[in-house]
Amino acid sequence: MSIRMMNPVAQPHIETFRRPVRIEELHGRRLGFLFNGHVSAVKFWKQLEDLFAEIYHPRSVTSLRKENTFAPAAAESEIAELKTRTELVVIGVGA
Amino acid sequence: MGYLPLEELAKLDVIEAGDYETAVEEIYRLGWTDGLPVILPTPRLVQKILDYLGRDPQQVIGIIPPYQGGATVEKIAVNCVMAGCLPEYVPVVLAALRAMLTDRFNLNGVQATTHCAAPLLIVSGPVVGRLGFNSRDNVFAGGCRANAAVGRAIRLILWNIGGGRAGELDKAVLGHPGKWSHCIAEEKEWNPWRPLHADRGFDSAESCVTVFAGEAPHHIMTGGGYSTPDKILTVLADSMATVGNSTMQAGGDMVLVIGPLVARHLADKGYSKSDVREALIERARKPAGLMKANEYLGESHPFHFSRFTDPKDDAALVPLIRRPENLLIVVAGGWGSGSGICAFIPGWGQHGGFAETEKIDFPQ
Repeated sequence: MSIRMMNPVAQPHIETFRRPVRIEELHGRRLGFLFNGHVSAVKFWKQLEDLFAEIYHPRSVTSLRKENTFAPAAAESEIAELKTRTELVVIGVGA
Repeated sequence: MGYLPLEELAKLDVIEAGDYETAVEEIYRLGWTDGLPVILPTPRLVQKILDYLGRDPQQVIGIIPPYQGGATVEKIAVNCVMAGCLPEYVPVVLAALRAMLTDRFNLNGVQATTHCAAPLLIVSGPVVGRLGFNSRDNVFAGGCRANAAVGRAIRLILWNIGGGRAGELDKAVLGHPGKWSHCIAEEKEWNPWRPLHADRGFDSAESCVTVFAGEAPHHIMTGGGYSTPDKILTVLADSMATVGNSTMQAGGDMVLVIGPLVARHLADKGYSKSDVREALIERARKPAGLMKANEYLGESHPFHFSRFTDPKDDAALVPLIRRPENLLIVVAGGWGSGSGICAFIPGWGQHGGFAETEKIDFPQ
């Protein structure tokens, strides 16, 4: 007689989202940075921000560093601020 | 480690095997376990749990990160069977899951971090005696089905539904043995103080589970049977404040398990739990100059210890316990000899794994 076993693995919950419109030209934009603050990328991130400013001359720069390196950015503060003040955001995850 | 992809595994329904041996090997081939053997999750055993719970099997209790698996009542029941749970244990598992799915716990981070943190369940209240949880000798080790199976069920749920598989989404460099199963109970009869869940705002008469993500327990010999409270607290404080643990560097929650003999001794000398906490806040400190030897967090980080001292003063003492509520004091373990054994469990820092307590709801 065969043995039947139930599967313990679950289907993933997949969030659906609207794909954002791609920005063709980066020069003069309201630019945002969101960095997770990991010690391994602190120096790199500073240089990357400087490089963006040098090459693309953004109209404004909003640079945020997450309070908690290992948790999602806060929707009501960090994400909300970037949403209102920027047109595109460069996100960095050092690990 | 050569696991089959979760996306493929999730599509499977009921697996059939020709005989017992084939079934066991099929479980390993499918990667349903982290290496330890499991009970075969037959439909009959799963149904027993579902009948006990009396809930819709398809009800989603939560989404388990980082794989974002939908933890339905049925999938939880399957994993509980594999872990060896009696149906009566499953409400404890459900309460622990609710605690782990709070934002403060940051289960996504706990599952994926390179740190060794693993969820530790601390069961307290009348449920301990009623379901036979062990709160005494070998409390962190084997010998008790309730402790072993409930802790194991959580691990299998994190593995199979949350996708926290070693070397894949679980990036722990070392991990620790608590990742197999990590569940203790708090002692009632030998506890001179109120239970842990009462410290956390629940009624003492309620049954609760507290979940906290931490390292393996660090054994402390206090000499508490022959010593004075002052000496005991000095030993505890020095054993807790070590430069390499995440909590010392980055704050967050931690657990101190005080053996019953030490707890009784301290209480007999007039120490309340708050007195012990206050004394440890004062004594568990390290000089900033020594702390600077550890650069894991980076001085610019918001959780860096320099926020709590004058960074220019190497002699300034950095507190391990940043806020009183960060230290959870639990009474558990055997009576033992006069060596007065306790254990300290550092957390993952302020990054997550904060202790969360939930009441255990049993079916009516």
